[in-house]
Amino acid sequence: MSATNVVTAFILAVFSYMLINNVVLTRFYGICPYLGVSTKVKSSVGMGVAVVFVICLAALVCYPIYHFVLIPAGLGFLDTIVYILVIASLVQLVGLFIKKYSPSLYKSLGIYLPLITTNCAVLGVVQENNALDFGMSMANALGTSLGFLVMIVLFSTIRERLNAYDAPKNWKGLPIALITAAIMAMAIMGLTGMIA
Amino acid sequence: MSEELKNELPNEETPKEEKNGALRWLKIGGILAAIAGCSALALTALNLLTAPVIEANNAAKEAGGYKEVFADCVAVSEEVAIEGNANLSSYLVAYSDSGKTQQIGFIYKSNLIPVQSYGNIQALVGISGSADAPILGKVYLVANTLSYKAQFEDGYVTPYNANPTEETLAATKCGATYGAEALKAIINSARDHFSSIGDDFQENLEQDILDIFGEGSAYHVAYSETSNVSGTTYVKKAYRFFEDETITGEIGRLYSAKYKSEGGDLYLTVGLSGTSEEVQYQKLSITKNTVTESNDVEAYVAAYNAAPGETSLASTSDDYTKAIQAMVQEAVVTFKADPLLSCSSYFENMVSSASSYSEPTVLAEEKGKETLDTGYDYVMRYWSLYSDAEKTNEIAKVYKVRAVLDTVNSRGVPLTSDTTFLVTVSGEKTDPIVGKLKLLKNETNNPYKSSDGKPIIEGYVDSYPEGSSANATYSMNVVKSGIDHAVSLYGAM
Amino acid sequence: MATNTIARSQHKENFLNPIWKANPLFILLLGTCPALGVTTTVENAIGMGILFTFVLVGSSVLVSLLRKIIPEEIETPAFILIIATFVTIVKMLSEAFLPELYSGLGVFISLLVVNCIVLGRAEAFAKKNGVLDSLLDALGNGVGYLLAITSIALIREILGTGTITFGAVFTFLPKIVLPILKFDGVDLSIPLFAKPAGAFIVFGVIEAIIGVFTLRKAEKEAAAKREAILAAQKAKAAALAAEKAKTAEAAGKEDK
Repeated sequence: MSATNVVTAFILAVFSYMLINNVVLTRFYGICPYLGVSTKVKSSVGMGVAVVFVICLAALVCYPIYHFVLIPAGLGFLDTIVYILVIASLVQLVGLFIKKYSPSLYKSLGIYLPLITTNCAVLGVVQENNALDFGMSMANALGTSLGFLVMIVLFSTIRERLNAYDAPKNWKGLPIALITAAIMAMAIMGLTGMIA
Repeated sequence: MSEELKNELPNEETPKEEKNGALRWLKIGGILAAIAGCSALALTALNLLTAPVIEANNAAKEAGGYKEVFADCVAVSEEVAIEGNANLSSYLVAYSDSGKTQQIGFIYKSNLIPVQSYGNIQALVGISGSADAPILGKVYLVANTLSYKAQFEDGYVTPYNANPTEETLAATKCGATYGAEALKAIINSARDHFSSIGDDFQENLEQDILDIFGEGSAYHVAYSETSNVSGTTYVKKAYRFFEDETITGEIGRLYSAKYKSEGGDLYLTVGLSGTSEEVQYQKLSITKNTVTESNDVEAYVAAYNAAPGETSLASTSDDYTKAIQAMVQEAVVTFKADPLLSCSSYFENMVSSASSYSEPTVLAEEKGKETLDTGYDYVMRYWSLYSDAEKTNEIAKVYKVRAVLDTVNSRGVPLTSDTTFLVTVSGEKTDPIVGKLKLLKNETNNPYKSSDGKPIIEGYVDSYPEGSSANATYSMNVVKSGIDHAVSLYGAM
Repeated sequence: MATNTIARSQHKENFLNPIWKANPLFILLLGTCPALGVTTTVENAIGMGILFTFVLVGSSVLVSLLRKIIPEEIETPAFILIIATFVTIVKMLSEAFLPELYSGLGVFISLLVVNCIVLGRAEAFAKKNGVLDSLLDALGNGVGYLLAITSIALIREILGTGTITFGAVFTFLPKIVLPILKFDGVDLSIPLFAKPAGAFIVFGVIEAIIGVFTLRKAEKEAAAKREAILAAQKAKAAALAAEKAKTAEAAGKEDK
């Protein structure tokens, strides 16, 4: 396979993981922070970037652990436990790192950083990568996390405006946000089959 | 006193603190390790319990899958691993009896192939036939986690399984193209592997034609069709040769046969033409000869080629010449069961009173062609039919016409068709009579059917000149124009 | 005797609370990922609910049993370990004995590890309460979650495919397809509900409906509060007036 072929395949894969099989609106990972954090654009951007960082790092670390340690030892069934411990430690490490080198970012992220541990997207991506080769795993990680970032920022911009408008009493807040998410999901549906 | 106490207290505290610090962390670490250890033990124990059940489940699923691939598969052999193949992991031999003697074919297991970001597929592929003539078999999906799995199965897998051919294999544009392409790659890998484990003998058809028919013959590879022969011991492939590019009007056939023994392999290609009643033996060409011990093959073949026929076949001397005789005889039997579809074989039905016919006169394209607004018709060749064996009394001429339509209808829909047929013209030159027609080939994208349910052209040709259906179509008009053209040629000769 | 009845009503409360009043999905908005991801069919949802309950009960009980032993510093990693162990147990058992459920739920079984409900219950309840209470609380949450996702799945499956299929996942059941919106020739199903967008719509509508009740309740409570404050103020004013009258009387008496 020529170099350009590999790069094209990678970019197409990233694109398809990012938009066409979008993490939040199609695969349903990361709904909790998606609904919970997206009331302000600023915090959404912060959360999104942190998620990109964590997912890519986690995928990079967990792939060799699964394929070169667990599988050869016949301990494939311990993957969930190992992954979650790795993710939890990674999030702690990333937190310490950010705290040391950018205290302002740490402060603005606040409680959201430890929350990334329970973000289904991180564990979901790493579990999906069990069945993929290295290139596809990285494409999955990059595409999924970028998709999360794009969607959560888009969603928060809509929500900020929604909160200013006068929704019917019972729909205020979460229900109307969910309907908005539904419409976004419908828009994503239209992209199916785009790379085919 | 108080000062002494004061001096004493700090000393008492520090050892306690140290104990707290190190010991405490040890205790914490110990508890965590204990929990981790217990969980690992519990899981390993559970794994020992469940892993065999999972294995059994998968095996049962696969066994069910084998039946889907080859319906009469009763037993399979040991799994043979395939190294270094991106698509395939292993294969098994499928048998139709529990004694494992009647081989049906191979079942190939694929790897878990990822399809972009949509999921994975894993399949069992059946390939039967022989190494140089593999036959595509069904496919069974062991795993299909594609996000558009329904589309993939309905649009590609089901049509392929209903009829595993090259066409259905290639029809990957079904709304699930990535998955279909991935499955197609798996099937092709399986077929290539199946071919490769036989021998890698390649038939050189050009050389065969030269050896058997000589230079400048009417046999061209471009006008040929290859097919596999089944139900035979030696004869594996049939090569049909046609008189022109319409791939109609068969003129002769080549059969390739293989004989394998401990002393070596003997492959040959033999030519046959004529009819089932009067088989015309053509020469034969030895395409592979690895027999090491001395043999009479060359002399035998030379004698046969000097006078191809049953008599020269009979003079066998050793096992190898006997094998050649057997191969040629099997080819003849196969030929008789599947006679040549030459144009002349239809003459009897078209002109019942004819007892002989001339050689065909081939018309140059410019002379035989008439171009129309919607396409063209092309009288390619014609024969004269005689009522007597001496070929003196001509009673009719049969023209081979090709009518090509390439236009766009009033609604902007493109219509194409390519019809090749034979038409009988007889009677006076000034008053020619069109007799029966025989449709040789018809390819069209016209989906319309005539009122009696037949495809348009077939219905038109079959009932000509009486019926013509209610839907007069473009393609029918082109055919009519071809008939008229032939008639005018008849009048001019 | 009195303590027993109090304890029993406390137990009842522990069990019933999470089912309706504090439903983990609809009220507390936890565990939304599987709620949208596996609710395309009722069978998948019921299966997920059962597996979830198993994990929750197991981990809550174990955490409660070990609560005195686990030191504070390593609470979180210890809980995660325990939960992950139970999730892996459930995964292995379902892969072996319920393979259709396993392939139907896919990654979401593993994602039970990061399900906020499980970790949340362990942190908020199980580590502070006895085994029985934790068990009841876990059961209540499990049932509440099961009912919640099954209701979403019911709506999605009926509207989305027009039928309810049993027996596809739980293969010991006979395969029944109940035609509700889809029978001979008539197909009133709306396929959108089987797609991701439909999940959001159903969830949003349910939240809005629940919002009606909670709003009403909140309004009632607010009104009651206001009334109570008013009543208290009135009582205070009355008491003050009574005092004044008393002192005035006394003064009057003294005068005379």
